[in-house]
This record gives sequence, structure tokens and C-alpha cells, in this order.
Amino acid sequence: MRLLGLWGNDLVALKLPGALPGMPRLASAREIEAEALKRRVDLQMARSDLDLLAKSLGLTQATRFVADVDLLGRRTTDRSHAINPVTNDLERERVKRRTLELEIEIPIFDFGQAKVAQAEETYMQAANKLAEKAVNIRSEAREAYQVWRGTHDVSRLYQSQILPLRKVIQDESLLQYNGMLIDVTQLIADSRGRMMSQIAAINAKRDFFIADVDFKHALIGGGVSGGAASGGAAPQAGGGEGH
Amino acid sequence: MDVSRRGFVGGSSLVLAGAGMVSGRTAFAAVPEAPTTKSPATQAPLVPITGPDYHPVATLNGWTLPWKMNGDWKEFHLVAEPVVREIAPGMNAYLWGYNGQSPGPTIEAVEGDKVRIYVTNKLPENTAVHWHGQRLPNGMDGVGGLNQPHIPPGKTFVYEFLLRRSGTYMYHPHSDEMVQMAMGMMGFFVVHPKDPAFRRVDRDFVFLLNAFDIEPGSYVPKVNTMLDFNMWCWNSRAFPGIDPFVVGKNDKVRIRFGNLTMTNHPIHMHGYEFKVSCTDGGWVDPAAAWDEVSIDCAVGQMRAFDFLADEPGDWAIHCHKSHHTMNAMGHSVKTYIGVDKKDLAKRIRKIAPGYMPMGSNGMGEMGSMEMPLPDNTLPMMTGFAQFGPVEMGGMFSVVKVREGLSKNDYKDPGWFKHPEGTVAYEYKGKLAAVTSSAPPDAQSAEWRVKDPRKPSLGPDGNPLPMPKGAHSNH
Ligand SMILES: [Cu+2]
Repeated sequence: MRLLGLWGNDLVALKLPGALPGMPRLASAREIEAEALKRRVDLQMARSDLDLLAKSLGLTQATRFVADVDLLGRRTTDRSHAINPVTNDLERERVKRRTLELEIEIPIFDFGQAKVAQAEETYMQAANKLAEKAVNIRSEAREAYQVWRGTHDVSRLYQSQILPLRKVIQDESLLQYNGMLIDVTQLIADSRGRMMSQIAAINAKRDFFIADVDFKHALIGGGVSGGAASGGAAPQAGGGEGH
Repeated sequence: MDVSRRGFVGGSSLVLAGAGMVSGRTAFAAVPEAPTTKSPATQAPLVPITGPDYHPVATLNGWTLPWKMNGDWKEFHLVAEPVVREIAPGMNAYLWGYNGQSPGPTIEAVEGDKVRIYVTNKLPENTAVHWHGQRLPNGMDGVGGLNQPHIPPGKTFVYEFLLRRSGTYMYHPHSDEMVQMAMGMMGFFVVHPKDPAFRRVDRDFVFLLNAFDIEPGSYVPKVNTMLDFNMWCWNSRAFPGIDPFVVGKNDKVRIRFGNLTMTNHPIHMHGYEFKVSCTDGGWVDPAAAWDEVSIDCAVGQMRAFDFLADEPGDWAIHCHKSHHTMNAMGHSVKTYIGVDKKDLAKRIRKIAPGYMPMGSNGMGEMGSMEMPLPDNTLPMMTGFAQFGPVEMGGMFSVVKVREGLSKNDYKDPGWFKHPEGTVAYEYKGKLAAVTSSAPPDAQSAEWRVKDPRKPSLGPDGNPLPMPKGAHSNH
């Protein structure tokens, strides 16, 4: 509450939802880089600084532009697949779209017009720093995306496969108990196994939402969230004893 | 008779192959057809219309293989093949058998007959047929590799021998024998006496004891199980799927069985004493038989017993090993007799919805509760009769002795109508206060683990000196 800065009536008004929201749609990795280049505040600031520097150096006439890297428009596809636990069919998910043609353009001037000594060196140093920043931002975006995507897939595996299988096991276990084919302790062990998987699934979802926040941070600029992923999403093998 | 015609198997090419194998000893024109059946019901005995006369047997939940005379040879055709056998309504097993069913059809012939038995292998592996108990040429004994080449898939072999002794026999594979018998391959073989009057009976029932290990929810037996089977069957049927032995009052009755499981079965019949008349070794001298009510049948043995059915009623007949009159059960289910699970049940139900506490007052409740079970699984104890749940499974059936049955009537006559005043009844009068004996407590002398009169042993294994004035309850 303190972290949220709530007091008084706000506290009464605050209601936490009973469950975590559903999973968002997947985005492609390349889209992410473009998005970061567009939205990162620190990059925009660095760019303004460079413009300012150019003006202060009296550079007005850009003669050409260079890109930070060649980021050309390409068709990109991200694939993922899962086994549907009910039909046993292989389900494919494809994210396919045209990447935005986005690159950072850095103007290069005719340094002959400069009125300041070492104008070219000063400007080119700053320009290269800007290019470096852009490259780093791409890298940070990719990295955040990998974590985001990884936790997403783990969480999805729980939802689409592990939990349904656990339910099948418990249902079958109850039928076997009914027939006096297994002892009640086995039924309880299978119920426990299912609960452990449910806990692990919730942790996996939590890890994903933390990664989601980190990922959004990486897109708009700087820093990571306070809560590191718990690592509690490691697939649970527990509860299978006695088989 | 519920028998469909398979038609001529193979045709001329098969005949040529067969002819090569029997090296011209026969000049037969055609292989006899191989009849098949899809029904697990007991079929009417097959009365002979050619050849010497005899009194045919009734195969429990089975049938007799029709034959064809070819010169002075009696010709049969067995087809070894995968089959679907209904173990009891509600459970099918994917087995291997002969001519559409497991066990295969009963072969019936007469002492002195020359039999020619064609065996066509439609299994995915080699097979061979051993004629358990028969006197025959060594090369006809059917041990693959030892007496003959194995019969490869798709091939037909011919067995030819003279039936030298009348009696009670069976046939089963002797090629990958463990697997093929675990899959249900076996059949009865009765050789009737030349003299139809010799030890003749009015009703003659035959069946084989067999066992399967079929995981609840599945269909194929586990072939490597040695002892822990869960389906104890008579002719690949388990109670309540086993047909009754229908008998007319005052009929002379013979019941014959052979044991192809991996343990012994004391077969017990209610209501009568009987005498063993025949084993797979031959007829028992009447002077050597004595009255009994249970007869143990060891592994690989056969027994036939006779009795005069002069007591009408529904008489239980079953294996006396009580685990063998159960269907699939969990031997690791713990004992909860005397354990109050009321409170615990509420808590277990929270984590396992649908849970019902069982076993606190014995397991009889299981016989009447019809709870959802895994697919293709019979309840451990089940079956209902006129007075309620029978709470049985496995090797259990009923000998139904009735007045006024016609000679060939083997139809289930329903439940016995008891004469007035001959059924156990509830006492409704006043009881004097019943004093039940007090349950023993831990202090009482007769429940001690250790004999207080004997000295304790010290760590060196020598007796410790008895304390002075020691009492029995220190
Ligand atoms: Cu038994």
C-alpha cells in the first residue's frame, strides 16, 4: 500500500482482481526493435542533444545521412507450437507481419562551414555515440523480448498442457480409487501433484507479468522493475511418487 | 448354432503348400472350412450325425468345432488369430485365440478316430499346437523346434493322429508359449469312449481355467505377468459373465476343467458331494475315488468330477481362493476397518471432489455401490441375484438344478423358486439381552507378544536373570 501511495478512502476503493489477466498477443522480435527506436525517451533526448550540438557548432546544411544500422523492411515470422491436450493436435501459432522500416538517420554536415575549431571531431564523436546508443537500444529490446517470450512460453505450457494433464491424472485416479484399485493415499498424492502444478503455473504467470513490465520499460527507456522473476516456474515434477 | 461360415481358406495354393508339408501322405482334395463364431454365449452341444455315436459336451461360454469326414479321417480346421473376447458385459479383451474366440472351440471325437487337424496361423508370429495328454507319434506332439518346425505366420500345418484313449484333454501353443497362453490361446479336447454307455452322463460341461492381467482402462493383457493376475477366468469369462451350469433334476452330471493359469485353483461346488471320475491322465477307477466337495486343480492339470443332481436349487460353484472370485482389485489398498473417516472425508473431498470414503466397515458396500470406474473395467465385486448383490467376480458361477428340463435345454431358467419356508429368514421375535464378549485390551494376558514366563535375552544373546518376584505384568 505504501509503495502504491494509497491511504484513506483510496485503500477502500482498491480491489485486487481474483486472477491474473490473460496472456497478451505475441509480437515479433524485429517489430520490437523498431518500437524501441521509436519510443525510447533517452534516445530522443540524445538525438535532441546532437541537434543542439550541430546548431551550436553552426552546422545547418546536412549533406548526407547515415543509418545506425541497416534495418530494412523484411517479412518476419515468429513461430510457436503446442500440443492441444484434448485433441492431441499440433497447434501452430504464427505471427507474421511486415516490419516497420525504421532506422535512425544521423545527418552529416559539410564541416567546412564550421566556425568552431574541431567542430568535425566534436560532432562526429557525438554522432557516433548516438549511433552506439541506438545499437544498444536494439540490443536491450531484443534481450527484454527474449525474457518476455521465454516466460510467456513457460506459462503457456502450464496452461495448455501441464494443467490439463494433471486434471486427467486426478480424474483417472478418482475412477481407480472408486474401483478399489488404488488406495486413498494415492488419490491424495495425485491431488497434491495437481495443486503443486497449479502453484507452479501461477508462479509462471507472475514471472511473465514481471517480464512484461521489464519489457515495456526496455521499450520506453531505461531501468528494470524491482521484482526479479522468482524462478518458481521451473516445471514441477513433484507429486508423482508411488506410481 | 451361431456359427458363420468362413469359407474355404486358401483354395488350391494352400492345398499345394499343405501337401508339400505332409509329404504326400494324404491325397486330400480340399482343406475343410474353418467355422468361426463371434458370440461368447454357451452354444448347444454338437450332436454327432456322422461317425460313431457319443454324448456331446457343453462348452461353458463356448462351442464345439464342427468337422468333416474325409474317408476314414475326421478333419478339423483351427485358425490361430487375434480375437476380441467379451470377458463379461462391460469389458472386452484384445486376445489371441482360435476361430474367432478365446478359448478356441472344443474338439470332440471318439476313441479310435483318426483325426486330421489343420492349423492355419494368422498370428503375427510363429505358433504350434500341443495336444496335452494325448498318446500320439512324437512328431505330432507340437513342441515347436523340438518335434516340428514352428508354423510361420500365413502357413497351414497338418496334425494327424489316432485317438488311442478316451478322456479329458486340451490343446495349447508350444511356441512362444508364455505369451500365447497369456494372450488366451487354448482349447478343450474331449475324446469320447468308443462305447457310448461307458460312464455316460446326461450333462457334460467343460471349461478351462485361465487368467489375464489387464490394466484397468486397457484391453491387451500384460504378457509378462507371472503371478499377479487381475482377471481370473473360466473360458476367458469372469463373473457375472460366466453362464450358469443348467442341469435337470436327477441328471447325472460331469464337470471337467483344465488349469492353464500359473497357480492352483480349489474348485468348490455347493450342495453336493462329488467324485473325481477323470483326469488328463485317464479315467479314475470308481473304487479309487472318494466323496469330496472341493477339488484342487494344479497348474497344467485337468479334473472331471461326477455327481447326481438330486437337489434342486441355485448352487454356487467357484474357486475357493477368495481373491479369485474378485475382478480387478488393488492389492495395495490399505485396511480401514474400524477407522472413522467421517471428519477426514470432508477434508479429502475438498482437494479431490467426488471422493467417497470406503472400507471402514468392510468392503461389502462395494458390491452394491455402482460408482463410475475406469473404461473397460469390471467392478471388483458385483453381480445381482434375487436376494441382492452377490458381491463376487472372477471364477464364480451357479449350478442351476431344475425339475422338468428337457434333455437339450441349456437355457438359463432364471432364479430358483424356493419352496415355502426353505429360505433363511429374519428373526422378528424378542431377543434376550445379547452379551457380546468384551474386546481384548492391550493389557490382557492373551494378547501379549512376548511370553512372560520366558526370560528376556540380553545383548549377548544369553538370557537375562529373572528379576526377583517378577510378575506377569511388569
Ligand atoms: Cu483360483
